[in-house]
Amino acid sequence: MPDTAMALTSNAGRFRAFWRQLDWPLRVALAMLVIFVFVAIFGPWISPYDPLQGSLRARLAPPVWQEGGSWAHIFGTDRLGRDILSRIIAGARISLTVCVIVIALAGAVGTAVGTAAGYFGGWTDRILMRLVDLALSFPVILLALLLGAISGPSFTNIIIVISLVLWSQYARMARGETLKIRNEDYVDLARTSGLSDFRIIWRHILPNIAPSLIVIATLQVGIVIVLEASLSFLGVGVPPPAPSWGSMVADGRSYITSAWWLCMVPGLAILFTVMAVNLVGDALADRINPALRGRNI
Amino acid sequence: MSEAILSATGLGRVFKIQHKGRKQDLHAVTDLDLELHTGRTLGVVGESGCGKTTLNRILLLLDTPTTGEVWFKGKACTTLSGEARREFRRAVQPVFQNPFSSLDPRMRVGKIIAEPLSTITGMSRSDIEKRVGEVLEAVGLQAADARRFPNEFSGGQRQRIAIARAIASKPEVLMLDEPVSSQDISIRAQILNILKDLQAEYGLGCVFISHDLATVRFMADDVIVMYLGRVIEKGTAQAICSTPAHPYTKALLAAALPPDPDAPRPELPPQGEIPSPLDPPSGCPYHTRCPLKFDRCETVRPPMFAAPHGGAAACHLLDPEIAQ
Repeated sequence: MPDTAMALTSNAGRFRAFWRQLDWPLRVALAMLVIFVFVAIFGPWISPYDPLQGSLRARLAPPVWQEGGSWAHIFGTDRLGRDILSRIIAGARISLTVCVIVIALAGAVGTAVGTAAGYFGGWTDRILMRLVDLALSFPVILLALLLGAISGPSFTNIIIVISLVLWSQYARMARGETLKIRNEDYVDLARTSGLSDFRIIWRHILPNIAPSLIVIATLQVGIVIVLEASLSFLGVGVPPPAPSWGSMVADGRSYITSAWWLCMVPGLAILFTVMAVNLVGDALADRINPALRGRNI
Repeated sequence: MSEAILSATGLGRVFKIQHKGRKQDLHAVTDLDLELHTGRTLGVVGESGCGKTTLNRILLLLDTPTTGEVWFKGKACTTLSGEARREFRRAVQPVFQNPFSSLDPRMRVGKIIAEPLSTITGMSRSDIEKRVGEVLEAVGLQAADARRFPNEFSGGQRQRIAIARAIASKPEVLMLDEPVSSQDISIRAQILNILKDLQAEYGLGCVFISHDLATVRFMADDVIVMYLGRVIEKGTAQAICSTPAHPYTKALLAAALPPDPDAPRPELPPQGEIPSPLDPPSGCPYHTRCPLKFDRCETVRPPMFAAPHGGAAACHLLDPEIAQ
């Protein structure tokens, strides 16, 4: 044991020990996730071209491995001659932004509703949970199309629609976990110490249900990316010319027979990112709360 | 005797529950009186399901009684508000049975103990820190333990942390709900001794709830015996544990393991199971199990009669008219 003890004293050693206990798919997934976040944050500095500016002379250029492709446009160009790699990089930033905002928003609302329902019980519980049922019965796509039809596609709309769909999962989980610990003696003891209900929820309930909620948040990252892409594909998501991965797939649809890479490249970006996120999310779920293992959220 | 610091009059608690599809009343506590005086310990004895824990919750103002009233220093508790309620919270502190449930796993011990101090008293940060160290040492732990998490402690140590928290705000009454039932025998004596020392040192009044007559005899000055939510016998601990008057108390006492395994069997074994509090028996609540029952027990509820040991018991056999 002295060797490990020595290794654990440095940060690098700790990372190596952590890395060694992961199996290879997880290592790949984690690496891809790191790349995704890095690209999303530093996109404007590493992207080779302006994702919005194309040159019509270079339109529909094939990717580098295709006949006629060149290193100038590694993944080729679209119908307006915009560099696809640059657009993928810019799309990563949009996906990450939507994820962060939606999960923060849906998480905050869902957690507040769920803990209140679980903690107070009775009529509060009944009314709030009916609200959750209502949210679960919303047809996502219809709602998005409706909002899009009313106010046109916008960044705000897409965030509202996805949050409306996803907050209910936090609410259900938060309610269940709150019910589990509401009868613990330390909650009663907090009451005999004169804490108000709000402070009991803040100081005792929330820290104890946080791990499960974090698991849900990670598992939802993939869902958010897919939903954003789907809505953008349908034209009610992020408005053009902003390069959302979903709208890139939609754009390429009419060229599927002649320039298949227009759909394929953003499609693969979605596939790999979501897979990586889900793998990491599942691993995190196993670690934090084994009871959630294999659960389809 | 001086005025009671904590008392209850005519306490009753009925839970409305759904049982087998029907709405029914569960009588957890019925018409209960008790008095606690400064520096004394009141033992509450009874088997599981007799309403001990409900009584505890009502006395801690965690639950409101359906009937009756809890009095704290002569003031009615259900109407306490603001400042008076805070004073009650400071002065009456509980220790619960299960130390694994009573300490928040995500809080450091120092924070757990400081919680009542920071919410009820207006103490400064440094004063609170000092007090946390003091009470940890008072229960035989170290001031440095305040930085650790509950899961680093054993069951006995955790219960001592719970006790440290309870005495942190310098309370006048400790509500002890089976504080040693979940402990190993070897730890029990230690915890009980700590409680006794603290009580002597601070002049605390204690309510000691237990199903175990032996520990009650060790801890308590006065005892009430509960059966199906009612008090059926009361008196000094000495009297109740040596010369009980009610057949139920006799049976309880006999059921405790005797030090001599070859000792003769108890002469008054209770018959059958404890009746459901959903449907309490008519007359004397104990008549369904009492080996000494006669006609009147089934119809007339016995009032408290003076018992030979100086206390009182609710049994028709003590009625002076019948005794003649």
